[in-house]
Amino acid sequence: MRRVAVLARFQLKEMVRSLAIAAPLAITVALYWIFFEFPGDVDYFAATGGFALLVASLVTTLLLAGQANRMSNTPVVARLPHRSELLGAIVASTLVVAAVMAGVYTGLALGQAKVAMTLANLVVIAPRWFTLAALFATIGLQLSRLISRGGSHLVAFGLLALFATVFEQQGVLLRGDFAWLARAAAAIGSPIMATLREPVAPLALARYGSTLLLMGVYAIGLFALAAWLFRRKDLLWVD
Amino acid sequence: MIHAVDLTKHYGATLALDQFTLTIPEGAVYGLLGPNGSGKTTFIRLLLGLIFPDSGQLQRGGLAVHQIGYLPERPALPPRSHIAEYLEMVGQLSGLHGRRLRSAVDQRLVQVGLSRVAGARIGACSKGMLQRLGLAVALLADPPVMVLDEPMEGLDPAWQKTVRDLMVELNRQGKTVVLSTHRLSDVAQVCSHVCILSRGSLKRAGALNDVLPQRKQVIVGVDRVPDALRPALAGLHSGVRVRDTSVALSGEALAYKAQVLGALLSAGVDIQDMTQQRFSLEEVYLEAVGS
Repeated sequence: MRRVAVLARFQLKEMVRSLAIAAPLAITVALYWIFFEFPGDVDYFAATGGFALLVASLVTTLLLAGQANRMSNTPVVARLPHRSELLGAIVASTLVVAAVMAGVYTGLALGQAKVAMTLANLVVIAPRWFTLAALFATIGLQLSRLISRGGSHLVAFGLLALFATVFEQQGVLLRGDFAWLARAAAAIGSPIMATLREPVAPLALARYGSTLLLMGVYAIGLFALAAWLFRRKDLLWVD
Repeated sequence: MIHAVDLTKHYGATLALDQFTLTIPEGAVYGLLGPNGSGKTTFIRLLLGLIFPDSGQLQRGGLAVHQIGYLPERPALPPRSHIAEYLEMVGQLSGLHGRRLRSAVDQRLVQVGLSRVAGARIGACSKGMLQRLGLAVALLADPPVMVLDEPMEGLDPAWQKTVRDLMVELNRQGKTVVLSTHRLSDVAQVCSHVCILSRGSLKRAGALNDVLPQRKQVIVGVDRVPDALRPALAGLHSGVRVRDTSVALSGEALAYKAQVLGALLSAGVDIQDMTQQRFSLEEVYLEAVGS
């Protein structure tokens, strides 16, 4: 864990120095301006903020993975007893950036009086946003060239696009031969949708807990897959 | 002891290493020689666990890959980081903390002559400074095995001597040094063992004295060997090697000494000297790689 923390701090410094941090910041602010043209309630805030954070997390992970996928990273990788520590550091750095972006989103909404909420609302929202950021950080790993073996990142891109399309067209697909596909996509995506759309108050604690747990399982599963792909990947950096 | 057995590695359709077997004894300074593309860097990457063999085995004598110090051929380091800050980060990854970390960083900065610019950005470093920083990174955690890939690259003669002395010192401390280089003179000066690779295959390997043939050669020094005479001399025996200003005879070709001298004198060539020498590393290398 200590090495992961050291690496994460280094990656974050590099991200700030290279100004790559501007990307998730611009995404968060831009989505805030789009979603909060008019004031909304706390459920709307939780859903839109969650969406902004998942996009920002995905982009941050891809940027950090790109930063790590360079020859200048050789002395670092050569010092790690386990390569998964590098991936752990990327996810940890993404979560730190996501926390900052959550602060920016919340600060803008509260500062401009676009939403009214209590501290208790924020306590409910924070774990939801955290699991969304963690899940999309691990999805970002699958999409990165860093862990890609035999073009696996392209397969991941294809699957994500297919999933998004099926999910979007559920209504149409449920009436045809691909109803099973629509139902499968709905089942897989239900924890994500629940995390985004569940009302903040009143809180159904059992449903809230099981949703977060499922999101955690997804994130751990995707991280394990990324670590497995990266474990014996040939690192032939030439830049 | 590092022990590679039948290592084979392809990059796509290209064979980079072909059933490569090598033993690097503990405490040796082992020179890896070979032309570009001969498989030296592939072996180093395998040794460091950056890539994996298609087949074969590699034992590192109980060492984990992260316990091997490594200086890459062209140290590519993050340009926006600062020299001391980067060394501290690498030191922390190697398990150094607190006073031990500060002391190790300071010691290495002094050793490579970068203590005065410790706060500078890596991107502002010259090629030589980068090479020395790469060396500091490799040495930082005092690893028992050091892999140096072209360590003299970009260094001025004074620093080249310092690095050579450093390798001797590391060897004196009982550390194993693997040196990949094109500089035969460095290998001859500091290495206890050497291996020569060509097109992914091992051509020669062993203690330096064993790799250099014990048999001697006779060199006949002349002002110039006439072009017309060259085929006749070379045709006497495969052990007769004709160069611009000398004719070398070794092994069974020594029996043709009289014929060679006779041919040279008949052609009016001015014979300047005749000496008996051991084979040089350069000659062994050129013969091994087929040049």
